[in-house]
Amino acid sequence: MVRSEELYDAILNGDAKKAHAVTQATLAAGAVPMDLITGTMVPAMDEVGRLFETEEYFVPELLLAGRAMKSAMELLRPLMATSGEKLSTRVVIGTVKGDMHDIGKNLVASMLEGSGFEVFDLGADVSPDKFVAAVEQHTPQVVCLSALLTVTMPAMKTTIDVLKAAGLRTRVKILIGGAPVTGQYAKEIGADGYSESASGAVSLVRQIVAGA
Amino acid sequence: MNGRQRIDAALNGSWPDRTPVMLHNFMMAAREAGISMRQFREDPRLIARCFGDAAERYQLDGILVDIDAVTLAGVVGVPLDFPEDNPARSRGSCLPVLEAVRDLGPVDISNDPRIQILVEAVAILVRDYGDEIFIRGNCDQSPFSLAESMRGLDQWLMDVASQENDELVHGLLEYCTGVACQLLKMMARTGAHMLSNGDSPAGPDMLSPRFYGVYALPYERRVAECSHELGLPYLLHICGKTDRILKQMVDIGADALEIDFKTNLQLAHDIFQDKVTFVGNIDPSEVLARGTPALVKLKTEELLGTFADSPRFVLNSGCALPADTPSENVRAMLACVRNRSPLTFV
Repeated sequence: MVRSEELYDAILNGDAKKAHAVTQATLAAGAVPMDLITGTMVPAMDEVGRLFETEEYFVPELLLAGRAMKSAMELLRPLMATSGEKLSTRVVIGTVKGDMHDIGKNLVASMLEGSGFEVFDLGADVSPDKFVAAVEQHTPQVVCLSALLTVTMPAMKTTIDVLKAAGLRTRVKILIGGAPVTGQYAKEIGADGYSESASGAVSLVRQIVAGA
Repeated sequence: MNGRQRIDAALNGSWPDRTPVMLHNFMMAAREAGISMRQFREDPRLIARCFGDAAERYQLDGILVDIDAVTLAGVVGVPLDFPEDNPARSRGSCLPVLEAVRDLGPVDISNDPRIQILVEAVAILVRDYGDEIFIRGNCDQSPFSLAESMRGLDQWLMDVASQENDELVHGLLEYCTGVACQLLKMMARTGAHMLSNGDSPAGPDMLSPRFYGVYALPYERRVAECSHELGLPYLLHICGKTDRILKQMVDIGADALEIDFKTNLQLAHDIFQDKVTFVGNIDPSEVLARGTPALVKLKTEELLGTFADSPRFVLNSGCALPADTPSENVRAMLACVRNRSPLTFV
C-alpha cells in the first residue's frame, strides 16, 4: 500500500498542480495506480468529506479538492486501462430532465470518484432514456439522480418508472438527492435511498456495495 | 392600518396592528391567474394583474415583485432558457475565462426589454395599489450572485477559494455592483417602497463565512448603501441555512433580511433584535406546497411565537413558493395572523 503524504496534502489543500506533479513523481518511483487510489486518494477524500461535515470545509474547498483529485486520476486512468486494473463499483449519475443545476451532482460525483468508484457523469437535464442507455452501456451497480428544484423532482419518479419499464430497475440501486428532496420523497417514488450531503451519498454507496 | 402602513411600521421598529404578510408568490400568482410563465414574463400588465389579484384574494400587506432570478444575468450576456411553464433560467455562463473580466465594457441596462418589463410591472402596481399595499421592487441578483451566473457556479466558487486571481475576482464583483446599482436606480424611479436583491450562492450552504465576508458582504453593503442614497429601505435575501453569517448579515446595513427556512429561528431572533427586520421563513416546499393546513398552522404559530416580542417581523415563505402551492395552505398561514389577538403585540 502506497501512502503519499504529499498527494494527500495536495488533495486536502485543493492544489491541482501539485497533486498532478506529485502523482507523476510517485508513479515514476514505481507506485501502483490502484495502491495510490486506495492508500492515499480515498483517505484524502474521506478527510475532505469529514471536514465538510464539520463545517470546516465548504463547497468551494470540496470543489478544489475534487479538481486536485481528478488531476491525479488523469495520470492513473491510462495506466489502469493498460494494466487491466479496474475500480470495483460503477455509478451512473446525473441531474434529471428539466433541471440545469449540477453543483450538487458534481460534488457527489467528485466525492464518489475520489472514494474509489468509477463514475459515469451524464451531466444536467438528463432524460430518462439517457439514464436507460447509460445503465445498459455501463452496467452500474448504483444510479444517482439529482434535482435542485421542486418543479423538477417529479422527473426523478419518471426516470425510475422508465428504468422499470425497460426491465433495468432490479439491476441497480437508485439513490436520490438535492435541496428539496427528502427521505420520505425517496420512499414515495420507489428510490432505494436518499442523502442530503455529498459525503452521505458516498456512505450510502459504500453500504450498498457492502450489502451486495 | 393598511398593508403599506403595517410593513412600514415593521421596518421602522414600531408595532403594526397585526403581523404583516408579503408573499414570495410569483409562480403561484401566475398559476392562479391561469397563465403560463412565458405569458407572465412577457407582459408587464399581466405581471401586475397576477400580483394584484393575489394581493386582493389573500389580503396581502405587501407585494414582492419578482419574475425570475436571472434577469440581470441575461443583460450581461449569460445565455438563458425561457421555458413555457417555468421561470427563465441560465443555461451556461458567459465568462469562460476569468481574464475576460479585463475586457468587460460599460453596460447600459436601461434598454434591455426584460428589465423594462420588470420595471414597468412595478410601476403599474405602485400606481394601482401603492397607496394601500407595500410594493417591493425586487432587483434580482446581488453582485456575488451575478458574478456566479457569469462564471458558472463551480468555476466561480473555485475562483474565490483558490485566491489565485483576487484582482480579477474583485474586478468582476465591481462590475456586477455597477450593474446591480443601475437596476436599483431604475426601480427607485417606479415609486416602489422598498428595493431588494437575492444573493443565493453567498450563504454557508456554499461559501464559508470567511469568504462571505471578503467576497459577498462588502458588495452587498454597497448595494444597500445605494438603495439608501435613493431614499429607499433595502432588503437582502440569502438562501439556505445562514446561522453562521447572521451576525455578519446584520452589518450589511439592510433594513430587512429575508431568511430561508433552514436557519435557526431563535438564533435569528436573538441576533436581529431591534437592529433589522426579519422577513420569512416558512418552508415553501415541504410545508406550504406539500404539507397539510395543520402543518402550516403548526409551523406558522411556532414562527409567530418566536417573534411575538418583536415588531420587526414580516411573515413570508423562506423562498419562492412553488406554482402548485395549494391556496388552502396559504389561507391556513394567513389565518394564524388574522386570528391572533392584537394584544399579543402590546
